[in-house]
Amino acid sequence: MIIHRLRGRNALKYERVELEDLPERGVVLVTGPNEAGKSSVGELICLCLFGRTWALPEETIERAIRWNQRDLDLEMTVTAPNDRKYRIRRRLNADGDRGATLFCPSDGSEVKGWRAVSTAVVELLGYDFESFGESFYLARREIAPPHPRSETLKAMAGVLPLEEVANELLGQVPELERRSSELATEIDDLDAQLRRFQRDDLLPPQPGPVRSADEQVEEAAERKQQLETARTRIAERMPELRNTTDRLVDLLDGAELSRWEARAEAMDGALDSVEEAVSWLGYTDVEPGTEKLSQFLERVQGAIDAFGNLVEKGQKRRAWIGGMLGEPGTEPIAGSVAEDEYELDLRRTRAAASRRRNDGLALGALVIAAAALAVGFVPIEGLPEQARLGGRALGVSLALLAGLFAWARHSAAVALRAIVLEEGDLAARRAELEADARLLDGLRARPMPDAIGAVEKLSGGALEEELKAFLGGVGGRLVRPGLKEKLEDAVEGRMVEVEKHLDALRDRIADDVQQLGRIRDLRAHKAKITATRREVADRLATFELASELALGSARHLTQDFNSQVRQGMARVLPALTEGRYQYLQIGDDDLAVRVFSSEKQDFVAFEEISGGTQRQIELATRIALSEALVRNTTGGRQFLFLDEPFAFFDRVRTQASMQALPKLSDQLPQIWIAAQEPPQGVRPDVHLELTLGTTTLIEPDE
Amino acid sequence: MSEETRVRLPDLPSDVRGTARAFHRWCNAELERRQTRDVDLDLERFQRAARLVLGRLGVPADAP
Repeated sequence: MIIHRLRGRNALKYERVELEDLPERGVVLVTGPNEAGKSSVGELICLCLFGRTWALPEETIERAIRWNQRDLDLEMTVTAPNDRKYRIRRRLNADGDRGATLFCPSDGSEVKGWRAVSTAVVELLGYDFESFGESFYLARREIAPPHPRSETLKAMAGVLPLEEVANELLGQVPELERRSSELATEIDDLDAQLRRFQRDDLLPPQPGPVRSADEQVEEAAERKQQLETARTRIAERMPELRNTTDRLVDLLDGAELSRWEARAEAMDGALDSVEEAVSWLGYTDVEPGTEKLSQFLERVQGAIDAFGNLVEKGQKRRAWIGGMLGEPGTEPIAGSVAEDEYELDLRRTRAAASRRRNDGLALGALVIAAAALAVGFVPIEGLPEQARLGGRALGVSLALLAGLFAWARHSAAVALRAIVLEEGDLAARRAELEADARLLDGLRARPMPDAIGAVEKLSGGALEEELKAFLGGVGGRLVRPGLKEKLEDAVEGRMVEVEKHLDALRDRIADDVQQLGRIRDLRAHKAKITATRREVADRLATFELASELALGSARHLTQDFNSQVRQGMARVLPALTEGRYQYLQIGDDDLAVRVFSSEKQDFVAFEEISGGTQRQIELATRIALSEALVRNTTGGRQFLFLDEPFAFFDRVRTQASMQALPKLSDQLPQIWIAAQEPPQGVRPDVHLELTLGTTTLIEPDE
Repeated sequence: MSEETRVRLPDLPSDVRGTARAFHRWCNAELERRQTRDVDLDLERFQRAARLVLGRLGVPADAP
């Protein structure tokens, strides 16, 4: 920052201040005796920039109003490090009213308010009041050795904000560690609670890699849903089972085989359906509870199947009977009733024909024999004897023949009578087969117990043994009197057992669902806590790394700053000490100051050298620090205010320093020097000569 | 890590100066050092940590 103009009234001891067109490069020398107001010039600059002075903090700044006056007005025009011109104005009155503006003519921006302007000036300059006091503003009373570990020095180096950030972040580490530890304990506690729920059938272990907490939560939720679905399905399927069971028992009142088969199948399906629903539970220790009902159904199905087999065999017998009876469309069977009937009919026809023929022949032979005998024995005139004898012989022969025919006719009649008897037998056999056929024809359509009873009436055959076995076994149960009532009771009892079992199962499911809900909640909570802990751990690691980076950067900046100061010192110190001292060493860690003596060719501690030289070194240090501060902040050019910097210098040193100062640094072109006497042989660019009674600060005319 | 794949912190706005800029510069150098030497580096965390410090130094969080 370069000061171009300083104007004001009633500020500190000055009634009027009018410094115009100050040189951007050169020395502004303020001289005068003690209490002439030399230091007040520096205080005016401080007041204008920061709203305070070294003697007057902001709280009591009203005391900057000139004695016996009511208000103060101070204005300064400067070029800031950004190369823009600014006008800073501050006004005060004795009533405590304060006003300030920071105006930039080039862009018209303006900041108003006492503190707002102070803050804006610090932002604009890149350094605060304290850094200003440790560098560009060397007040007489402040002359002291460079202070190791000085906070301001750290601020100048840019280290302080980094250290503050690192400390602030590290300050949060214990709290984060405590939080992390609390979360770990909470996770252990949740694990212990979860371990108490460990049951294989509740959450069967999954193969594969270890699942994340989120996956476990999802798994618990899925399992819970699965159990609830199974419970619903079991409940839904029970009425169907009861219904089909009741309907099966109802059949005992009389229903054909096909209905028995259909209902047994329906009950089987309903049972399967219940068992399937139970199997979805995934419980390793649970049976469906339908075993007895299953066994009952198995027996019923066995009986139905056995009867079915019997009926099937009956159908075969029916086909055989058809064959035996010679029904149309049936295969002829050797020795069948129809064949026997045919042969019998044939024999009867032949026998009848034989009887009729022998009847005729016997009668014919008898007539002729009678005629012949009449010829032989009746005296007929004129009949030769021979003829008579021949008639007799013929008659006897024919009579014998007629006898033969009569015998043959008798045999045929006997045969016919035998055939009639056979026909009777055959008709009875047919009637029997036809009766069996009729029975078998309606067997499938007959009510079951009745059908079974009817089967008993079947006549003989291969079925007999099987029928006996059937009736003696499963079939007999179905035709037993009072069976329906017994079965109803048995089935009802079994159904009650099934329902009771499933009720218990539903209760268990409900308990498990509740437990799973708890597991899911615990796992969800654990997932949340685990995620939070991860976040805390991550935050902790980030904070630690951020601190590490801030401190690493601070170390680097310290080294860099020290290097800059050393380089500056190496240039400034020989110029101010006429080459007697070469350069300064500042410890990177402790910032301890040692100086290299050309005479001793070694470093000597700051405290070991003379007071005058110490002041020269301090001055050199200030200049070097100021250069480094300019480089480390916002850059640009900067004025320097040195209040009695030569107080302990001899004449020669003063003269040498005064000549060297304006040439030392391009970054510090405008140098204000307050001194009691003007150094001899030096011509300042502006010289303000003050006396004890001076109340105006006005640049003298050339 | 090859030069092409090395990562740098995003540039700061041009008006950021002083300590924040010096810190940013040093962090980039440190990042380069860690990447070059294959030091165990969590790049994402490093960037977050650097952003955290920059934020505390007054660089707006939404600055690149």
